[in-house]
Amino acid sequence: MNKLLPTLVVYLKLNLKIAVEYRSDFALGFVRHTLELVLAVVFLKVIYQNTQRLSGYNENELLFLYGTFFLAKSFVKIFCEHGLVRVSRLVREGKFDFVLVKPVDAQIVASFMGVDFRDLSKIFFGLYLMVYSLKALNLEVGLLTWLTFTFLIVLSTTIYYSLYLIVATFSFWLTETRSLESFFSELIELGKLPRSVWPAGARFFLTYFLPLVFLAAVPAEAILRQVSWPTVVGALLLSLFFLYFSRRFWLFGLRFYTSASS
Amino acid sequence: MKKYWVLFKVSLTRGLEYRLSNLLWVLVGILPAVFAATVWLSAFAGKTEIQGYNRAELTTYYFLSTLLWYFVGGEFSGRLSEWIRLGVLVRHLTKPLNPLFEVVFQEQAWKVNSFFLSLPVYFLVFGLLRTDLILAKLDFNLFLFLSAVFLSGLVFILLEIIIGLLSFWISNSSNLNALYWVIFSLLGGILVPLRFLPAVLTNLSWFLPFRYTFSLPLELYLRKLSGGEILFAFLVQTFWLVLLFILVKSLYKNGLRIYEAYGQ
Repeated sequence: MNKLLPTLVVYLKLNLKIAVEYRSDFALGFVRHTLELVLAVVFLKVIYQNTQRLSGYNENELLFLYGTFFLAKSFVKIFCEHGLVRVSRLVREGKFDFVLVKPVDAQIVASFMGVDFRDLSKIFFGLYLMVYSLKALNLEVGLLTWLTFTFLIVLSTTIYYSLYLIVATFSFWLTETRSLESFFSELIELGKLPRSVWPAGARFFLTYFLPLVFLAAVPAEAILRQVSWPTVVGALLLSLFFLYFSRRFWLFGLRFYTSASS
Repeated sequence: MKKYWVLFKVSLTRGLEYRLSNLLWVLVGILPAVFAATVWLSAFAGKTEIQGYNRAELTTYYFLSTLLWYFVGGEFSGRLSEWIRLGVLVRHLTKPLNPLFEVVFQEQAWKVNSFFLSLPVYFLVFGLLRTDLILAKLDFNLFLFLSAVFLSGLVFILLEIIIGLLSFWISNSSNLNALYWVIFSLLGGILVPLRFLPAVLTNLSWFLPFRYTFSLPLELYLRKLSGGEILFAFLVQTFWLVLLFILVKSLYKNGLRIYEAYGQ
């Protein structure tokens, strides 16, 4: 664990150099990522042209939820997603050996080897949406509420990372995981809707089995509504469980790596 | 044409190797529609109609839009772009086949595979939503719808080929592709029915090619267009078909002239 920070710094520098080398691609990528976020907000705007409330949420409240979702996703998107996506290719080509021989835990290398700065747009855009909507809502938020919100965002990031690690671990058995990753990415998008939008069965599933409601809906509720302490404790327990399970699953998957074709 | 039919059959067989992966792609296609439909159905609380669409029409719109993917949509540009970028195109140029047709037939085979694989999923969704879905009637409108599906498929392929061909000039076109997809989702009727957009965008969409991919067949199916609008739509669609075809030919010819096939 004490190698986590130096490893992260090394990969940050390396990927920053790559980003600077292909400047036009970086700029275009940044615009692209921002436009994708704008498209999501356009969808929301169109919805609210036709209704006042969506499952009890007004437009600004849902904008805040969207902002929270983009912010919560952004940390894993920037630091881990591209590295974890690369695991599949490395395994297929037998190049995962290069990850294993490094004097750092393979999970740390795999998680941080592909830092992508283009996803910084998600942080900026997420924060912008949050500030904009809070102003429009004219909400006064106390320090304790902000602390709870920040804590829930940390837990949400942990859950998101753990889920992504589980998906990446399937690379040790499946030759083609692009479809699984895309499926997961689309599934995650369901996390930007309020809990109340889902029928009871779906809500139960999205809370306890695939805890997407903890990605943004629960943290946003800490600001917009009220979150009970049992919910916070539940989020903590769930995130710890998923972190532990994903780690065990990763180690289990590693046993099946056969270094094909190298 | 026989050689392309053989290519189609080979690609069809290859597609069967990745059944799980194909099934997941089917679900990838359905999820955004589930998302949109969930939101819209929530928005319907206490309403009978939104922008001229009732609940059944809107549900049918999103259900049919995912199904139409197998007839109109596809992923042509990515494959072509990769061939050009990695220099693989050279290998295809030496074959007695047009690489552009190769891309099209390979993708069509993949779509046929995925379509049959998706049927159980669609039957399940159909079963769940059957009271909210509008079934087609056997009349002239159905003929118009099927004609629009065929022509829209061609427009879609040509647009995708153009994006793919741009890789002759832009080494990494994935960002460009994603930018195109953002515009396409908005103006092609994937995100929301075009009538839901601000008037300026709705009006603009009549003159751009994107409407003539997904939106036109869906609007025809749901009988949302008047006689004059249908005629105008088919005329503009034909205009775009011709223009895009000329553009594809020109881009391919000029692209091959400057092609250096890196790494081959």
